[in-house]
Amino acid sequence: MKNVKDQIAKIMAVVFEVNVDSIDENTSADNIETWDSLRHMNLILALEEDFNVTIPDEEVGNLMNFKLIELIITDLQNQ
Amino acid sequence: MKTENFSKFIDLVYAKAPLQKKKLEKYLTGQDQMFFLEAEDFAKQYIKYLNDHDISLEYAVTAYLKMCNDFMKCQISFMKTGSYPVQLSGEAFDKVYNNQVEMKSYMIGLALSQFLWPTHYAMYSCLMSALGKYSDQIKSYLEIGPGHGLFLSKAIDLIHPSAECMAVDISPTSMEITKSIIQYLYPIKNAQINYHIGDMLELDINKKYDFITMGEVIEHVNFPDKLLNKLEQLLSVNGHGFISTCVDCPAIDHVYHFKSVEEIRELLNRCNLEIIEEKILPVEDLPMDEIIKKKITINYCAIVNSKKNIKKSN
Repeated sequence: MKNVKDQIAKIMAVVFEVNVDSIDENTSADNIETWDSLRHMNLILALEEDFNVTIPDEEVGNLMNFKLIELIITDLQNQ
Repeated sequence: MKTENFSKFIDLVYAKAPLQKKKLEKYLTGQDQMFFLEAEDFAKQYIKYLNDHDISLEYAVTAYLKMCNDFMKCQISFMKTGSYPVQLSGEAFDKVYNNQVEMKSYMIGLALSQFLWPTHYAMYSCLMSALGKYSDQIKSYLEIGPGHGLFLSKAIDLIHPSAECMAVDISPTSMEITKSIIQYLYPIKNAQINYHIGDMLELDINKKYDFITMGEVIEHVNFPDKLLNKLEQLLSVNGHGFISTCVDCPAIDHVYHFKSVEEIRELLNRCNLEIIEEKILPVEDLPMDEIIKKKITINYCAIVNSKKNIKKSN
């Protein structure tokens, strides 16, 4: 599970152009300034590619924080 | 300045959507007093209209955010596949135009976007400016695809009170929304407007119009040239048209994929339309080469006239 968290943190750091150490479980669109709609779309694409999953359409707009992203990725991997 | 009604929309959006909040905060910071005057005027009237039709503010903002989310989902699919999610206009009919629930939500969301999206506001302003500039010459006005009805309502505001007005829409639900807002704002004028539900291309009109508005229509059809040709034929000598569309803009009901601004210009030219004024409006604040490379949506609008009519008047 730790690997999933690390991998998500690395993806978020690249997409939002922030230091990976600044990403933790409390990270959200509210506390990352560069998290805008364009980068959010890039985040979805990067998550799908790196974890080899398809994020359902209805979840795309909900994934606004680290915890929810981890939850959905773990869920999709277990399907 | 005080924007009591507009703030009701904004506050609800901020509370529900963090990404929209960021975008809006940046956009609204750069707006002048005129924008807030117009936005407040719109919001005041629109909230009254919504109340009168038992539509809550909550529903309207949810409809707007649903539309934003739908655009985002389509954009992600487009980034993966390079093509629009819908290929044929018939599919858009089944999914959207003939779906009363979907269409009502879409039209209300789109109405709010006229003031919440920088590019939509810029196109709205372009149309208002043209209607103001040519108002003395406009004795007849045609709108193709009036949708949420805001353009038509502002046209009624700006053109001569005795000007003949006609509105054509292929979607009965969309036309109902147009009629209801015009009825609410201009009950007397509403009775004089010729509303026609049907395909513009099949409509036999033996009349020319001094101003024709066709906003956000041609990307919804498989053959935009046919609609543009029709518009050109219906323009009076010295008549003007307002056309808006977009490049790389996937949506639940967009079927025609314009791949560049140049492609739109060439199409207008082929349809005998001369561009008098145009606005090229990328939806993200990035350099144009990056916008093109990343295939980010560009909104486009133009004021046109007929090249044939120019020759005649010369």
